[in-house]
Amino acid sequence: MRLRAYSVLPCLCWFVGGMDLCGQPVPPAEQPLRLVSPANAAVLESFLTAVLRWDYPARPATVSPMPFLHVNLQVADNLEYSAPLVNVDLNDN
Amino acid sequence: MSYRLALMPEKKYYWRLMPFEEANGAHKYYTNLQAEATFSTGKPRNQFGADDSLRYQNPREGAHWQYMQPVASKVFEPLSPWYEVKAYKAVPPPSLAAIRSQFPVPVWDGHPEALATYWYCWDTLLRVWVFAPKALDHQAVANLLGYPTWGPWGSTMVWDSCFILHFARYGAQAYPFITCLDNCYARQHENGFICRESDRENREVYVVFPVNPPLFAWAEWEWYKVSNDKERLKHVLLPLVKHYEWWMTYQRRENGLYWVQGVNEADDSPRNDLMYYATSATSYQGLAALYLARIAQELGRADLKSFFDQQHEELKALVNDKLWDERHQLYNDITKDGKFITELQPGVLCKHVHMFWPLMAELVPADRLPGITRELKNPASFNRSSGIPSLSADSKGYNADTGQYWKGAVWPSTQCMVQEGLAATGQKELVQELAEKYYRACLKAYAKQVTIMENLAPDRPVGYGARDFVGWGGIGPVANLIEYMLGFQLDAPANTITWRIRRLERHGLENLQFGGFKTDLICEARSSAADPCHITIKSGGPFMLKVLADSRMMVKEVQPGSQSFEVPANGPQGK
Repeated sequence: MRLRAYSVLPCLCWFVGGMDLCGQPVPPAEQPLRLVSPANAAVLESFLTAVLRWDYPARPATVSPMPFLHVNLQVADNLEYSAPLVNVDLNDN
Repeated sequence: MSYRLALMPEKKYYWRLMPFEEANGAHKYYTNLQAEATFSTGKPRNQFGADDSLRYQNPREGAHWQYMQPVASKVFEPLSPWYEVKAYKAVPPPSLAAIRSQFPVPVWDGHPEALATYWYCWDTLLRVWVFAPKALDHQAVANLLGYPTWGPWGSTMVWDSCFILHFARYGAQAYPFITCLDNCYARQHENGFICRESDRENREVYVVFPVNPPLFAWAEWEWYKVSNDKERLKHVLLPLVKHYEWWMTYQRRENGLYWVQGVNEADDSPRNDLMYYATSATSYQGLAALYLARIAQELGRADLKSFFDQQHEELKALVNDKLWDERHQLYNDITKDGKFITELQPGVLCKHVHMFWPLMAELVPADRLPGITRELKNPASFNRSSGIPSLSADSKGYNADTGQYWKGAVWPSTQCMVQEGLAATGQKELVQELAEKYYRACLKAYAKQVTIMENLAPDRPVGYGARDFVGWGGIGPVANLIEYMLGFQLDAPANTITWRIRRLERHGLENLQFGGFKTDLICEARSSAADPCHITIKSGGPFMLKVLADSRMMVKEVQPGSQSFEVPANGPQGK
């Protein structure tokens, strides 16, 4: 199927120099959640407990007018996440 | 956003987060926005030499300081960093009159004094000891459990609260006394520290040595055994583990033995000036490990169960290697240069009640029990007429007249600790004898003084200290009444009641909430212990009843409704 030019053009322009053909700023693409701490591969000072912190991405309004309200967190002692110690939906963004 | 959890030491973990949206009951996951990483938990640290600024880091706003240098707060820490209950949503506690119909009712024909003391305890607990915070800037998340007019600010103590719950759990069906511990978890610091005392608004009170024995896990487990409230266990696991971590970090000396300053468990005991390594502290950390392992198992955390089981084993080895005084055949504290404080000078003894903590922590091998029980049976040492004294009668400093303050007085907390220890190690006859003796002394003191005071003189049934001390003063008249005089042991998670029938009078418990229903259990009067026991039960639901009468045993599956049965004179033997 051939795409019509008017539907393809904005997409092509979207990422060119952060501006579209009309010279308007391009909204950023959705970013993954940002893990704040612990840093990847960090060794904690605490030995029986951990505090995991993260930031939600700011969602471009073009994608959704609402921020994310939910996240699923999993913590496991294996890469496959089999039998995770934590598998919880958190709803308090 | 953050999430806190309990983990194992020195282990690699993987974590990932995936945002999702919910629409019409369906989840739409954004796998393209998922993030993941790894981290490892640290090796257990031992910072026994840390100063107060690290140990008690970031005291809470409005903390009181007495007889110690205040620590400045560097960072504001919100309430309950490790606990989910973060705000006070309770209402002021009810009076006994308002909820009396919800308490279990003891039945013991011919013993009105037992019932009068029992109800006095519940009345005093609700009238004096359970109270709502009043200040607009209070830091409580639940009603408090303490003595609101004690000293300049009122007082709640962790140590007292845990022992109060030993009897208050029997009122679980009437009032959630356990929520008093929510206030302790609420004032927990980011580093895991929980100040041993608060004022009447749950503000921290730092006095001399603000560390409490880590009895929370035991107290929570005991509550669970009567309430079957597994949800609560889920919520408290994290603050309990964090507190254990604090103890490992700051209360261990180089050789792994734990220490306390002593004033936190016995203000003026002669041991306080002698000891460097504490039998009590090492043991009650073992107690915490024991009960954390049980909680972890109940919650399906096999990893944590394994860790705390190992901790318990290590502490058992340490206590038996370092704190067993072979010459005197008992456990005791040691000095910095490794000498037992039992007899530092020939003929000058220091034997105190805190040397029995290894019993309750289940750290004592069978071959070491005889030495300990010999002390508890010896009238010249710990077997006094009011109960188990805080200092043995043959120790230097024993005050035979009043025992004050910790020089022989019989305290409910340590009496309870020894009873629990003997029960845990299977010393059924001895614990029965000592528990009954203490119970009778409590009732005699109440009959004379019409109040329950902080402690009893060791050789006379007379109370000393503050009045209306229920408080842990309810341990004798409530817990010992239910457990030892009437003979009940509740295990709600196992849906089982064990009933050791020893009384000849008609006796039992009515209106006992057990699981999700109420039950009445009555044994009719007998003329001798060898006679059959005629038992009548009315129950709102099914449960397992194990009856032990004399040396006879019967296991009965109780069904909803009314039923009677007999434990025959020549029934099957059992223990």
